[in-house]
Amino acid sequence: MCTIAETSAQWLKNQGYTPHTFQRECWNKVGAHLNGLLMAPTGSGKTYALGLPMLLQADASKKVLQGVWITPLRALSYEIYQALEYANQSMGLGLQVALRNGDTPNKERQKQQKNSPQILVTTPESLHLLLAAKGYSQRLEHLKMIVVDEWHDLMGSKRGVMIELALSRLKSLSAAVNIWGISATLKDDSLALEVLSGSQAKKEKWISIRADLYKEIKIVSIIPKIMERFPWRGHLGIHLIDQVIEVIHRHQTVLLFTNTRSQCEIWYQKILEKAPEFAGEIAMHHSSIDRQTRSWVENAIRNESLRAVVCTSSLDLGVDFAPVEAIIQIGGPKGIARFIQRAGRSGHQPGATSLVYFVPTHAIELIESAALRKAIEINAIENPVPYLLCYDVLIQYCCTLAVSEGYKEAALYEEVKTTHCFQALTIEAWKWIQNFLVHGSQSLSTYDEYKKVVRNEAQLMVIENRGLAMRHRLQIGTIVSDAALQVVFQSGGFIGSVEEWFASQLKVGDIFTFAGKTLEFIRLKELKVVVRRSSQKASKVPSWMGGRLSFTSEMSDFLKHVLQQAHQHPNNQEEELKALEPIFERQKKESFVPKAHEFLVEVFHTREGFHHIFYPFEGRFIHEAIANLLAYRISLMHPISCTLAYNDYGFEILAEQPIEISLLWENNLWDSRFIYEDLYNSLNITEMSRRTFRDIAVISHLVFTGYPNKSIKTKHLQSSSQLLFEVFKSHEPDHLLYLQAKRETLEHKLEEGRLIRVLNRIANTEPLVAHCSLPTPFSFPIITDRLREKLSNESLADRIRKMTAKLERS
Amino acid sequence: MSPKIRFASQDFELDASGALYWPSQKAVILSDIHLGKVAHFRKHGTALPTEAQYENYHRLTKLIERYKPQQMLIIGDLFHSTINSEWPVFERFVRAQQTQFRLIVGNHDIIDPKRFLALNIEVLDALTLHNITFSHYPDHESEVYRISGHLHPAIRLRIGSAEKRTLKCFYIKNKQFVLPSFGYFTGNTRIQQPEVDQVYVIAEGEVIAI
Repeated sequence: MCTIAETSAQWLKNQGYTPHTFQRECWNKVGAHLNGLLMAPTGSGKTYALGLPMLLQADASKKVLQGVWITPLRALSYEIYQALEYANQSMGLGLQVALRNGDTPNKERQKQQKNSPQILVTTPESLHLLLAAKGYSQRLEHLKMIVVDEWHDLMGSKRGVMIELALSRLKSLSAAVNIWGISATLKDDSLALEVLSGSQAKKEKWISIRADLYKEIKIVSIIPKIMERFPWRGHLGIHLIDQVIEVIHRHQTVLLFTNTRSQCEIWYQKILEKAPEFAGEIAMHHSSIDRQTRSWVENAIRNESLRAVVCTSSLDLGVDFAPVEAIIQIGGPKGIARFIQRAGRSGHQPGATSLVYFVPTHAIELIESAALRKAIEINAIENPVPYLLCYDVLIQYCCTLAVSEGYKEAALYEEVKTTHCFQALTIEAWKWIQNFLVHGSQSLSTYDEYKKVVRNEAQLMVIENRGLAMRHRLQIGTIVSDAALQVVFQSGGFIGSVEEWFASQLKVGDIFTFAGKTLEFIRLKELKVVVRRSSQKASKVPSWMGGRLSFTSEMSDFLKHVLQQAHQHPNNQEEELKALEPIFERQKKESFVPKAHEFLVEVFHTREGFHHIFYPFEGRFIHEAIANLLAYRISLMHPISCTLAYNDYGFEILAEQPIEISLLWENNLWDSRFIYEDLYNSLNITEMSRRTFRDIAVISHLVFTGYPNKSIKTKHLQSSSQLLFEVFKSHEPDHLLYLQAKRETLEHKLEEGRLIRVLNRIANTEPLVAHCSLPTPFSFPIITDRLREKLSNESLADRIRKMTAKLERS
Repeated sequence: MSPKIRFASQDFELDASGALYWPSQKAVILSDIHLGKVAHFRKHGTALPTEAQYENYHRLTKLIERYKPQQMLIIGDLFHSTINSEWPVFERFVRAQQTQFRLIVGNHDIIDPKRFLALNIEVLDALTLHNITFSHYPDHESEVYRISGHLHPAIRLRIGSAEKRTLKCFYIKNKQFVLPSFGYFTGNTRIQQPEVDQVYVIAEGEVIAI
């Protein structure tokens, strides 16, 4: 009998491929019953590196589940299913390979439960649904291999936590199971491996394999023909549309990536206006468009019937589109992983080069292009930051087990602690959670009718109430979508969804563009935005919250590096930096381009007051935090009234009096200690936590998101997380979920760790103060930003009164 | 500060709790308390803090102490759902009060009226006093002056240049006066200022005309 490695290699050769070294390595290591992490670029044959051994290990004569493949996307799960089924058929293995995700019909699910497939391709949510079904422990105890695909993407999210928990359960059920992750190439793989393997794994049983393949990426910047006329600011890059259309003409199929959905809508419109010849050959794809339309677009890319697709991150991951020749990236992608992923959408043939055209939306963004080129030379993406102690996911998971077979508290505590996420879970917190599940809170009252988990006579924690169990199963998952309203035609037909706040500002007769269509708003009915087609010119484009991206830490490092290079090797420069030379010249004339040990602060005076502009180059989210922190600390030294503005390169404090810059260093205002207290006082963390809490409330099922056909009874169970947040804030401030919201805001939204590093870095630089008479090329984009925040300690009522007073005067 | 307004030739005081005081009748008018909501949620597996249910009684007590009304006119949605463990709390509260309670039935009031009558609470579909009709549902085209609830109105205000807040509000449109929800732990429906005649927002304990 042949080994797994021999059989796999032979089969791949029969298909006309030469196995890669990394594939052989995987086959050998799986054959030796090791676990591990495979890092390989997309389209390199990673599915067969781990899929073939999964198939070959399975025993066709045993009608039990033996292999599980977890993918983050439904579209991707279908591709994997096809590849595995093809290999299964072609090798004549006689295995039953099945697919289970949110789209799988109920009938098929029941069939799978009665007559188990041997190999299952699924998503994290569907995997948890398996655990929510009675008899799961018998169905899953024969597992031999689990593969987690796109691990770099999953591990930085709460879906990763779901996987960690499911793995801990499956490892207990089947001691022989081997676990493999697949990820894009990470700079440092130890954390990814640690999260996947859990806190108590035997290190010698875990290895990581790096594919020795390098995906060539070529970046071509679209440089405006006349640099002087280049606008300083603007988010769209539309002024470069002629050059973009040229690019589309030059290639068979291109994907045009924008950073936000509204930008996507606008670009699609503008291309059609400028180049009507593309009508019918260009499409749009973003996550708020109806799923059917999106699938149609995806298929049309595959069968080459489209020339260009304007899209957002909705096409970042997953499905391979062989015909795509080039990518156009509008605006900086702000992160390396995102950029490499997007680039990988083109040049899909093995060995082919990915071609990316970079369209800057303002001049300084050209530096990003040069920085990205540096980043991809190293060929590694940012390390995702895993979530820790997600009580919300743990509460959901406990309920999942309670609706199926129940659990024993002590045993589950030990098991949960084997995960990376919950390795530091204290027994007090665990008891709190169990108490919360049984009694609903820490205090007990005799009249209470709270019902959820009960401890039955066998000392098992179970949910017996069928209504509760059903509601729980409906809500398994950690993806929380924004409250969205469906957009439908009056004549019927679903177009997509817009956020509530956009819908609320529409008036009857308003014309807006959405999903590439010009629509007239007719009415709002039962959470549906009813529209008809219109031939009038649209005045509105919906935008969606949370669309703003900020630099990742790695991206920021490369950016600073490129700026340094512009200093050190002024003659040996990339085309982008050459193109920027006139701008650098102007910058130097008025101010400076900072060196590595310097920290640039520009100061100038206008009618508005004294502008102080700081340049950490760390992305707008970090700048928002630092600006507020700094303004607050300055205000402690002497009262100051100021407004703040920020972008990806720096931030501005606009004040009525000048700030003595050197004092900021002398008084240690960049101190990274006490940042929590100071941010709490300056940034209104409570407000930010309120937003974080929304997800937590949904994941822990405090908020019931409803059934498709609501009865009056469940209508009485609707509430918003906002209300819950207020209730906890005033009545149970030590509630673990409320505390989790605050902690997650600090760790993930404000990136506490990075913030501390940045503050320490700034503290160790020398202030380089430039007193300017005019705005500089660096400062112009910031000071003209309309989104300003005012620091104020007036009461809400006073501020409203002031506002109305102003309205009456105007 | 509680602004005083004139509506249908009568004087009213707008209380920051969302209630209306009618001095000539010594009446407090309020809407949408949704008592029993916390208990209802708990019964169905959503773990809200039990202490939260007392907040509404604190608010009612404060209101009664302030105005010492002869009658409390509740214009709908007194109880959130069916009878639950909060009912005895409510019974004890009502029995301890000197004031007369009257309930105009709202869409959430599905509890048997006999239960209310047993507590000496009058239960009505609508009521007209001094040419003003009190009803749960508003009617913006009403021919007569009308005071209602049901909508839980709130308005989104831009405060300064970057901040926006959603605040509960009273509003008047034509002959219709709509009250905000009085209850703790009740949601809001956003209204658009241009579509109504006059808005009074509640901002951290103050009522302000916009």
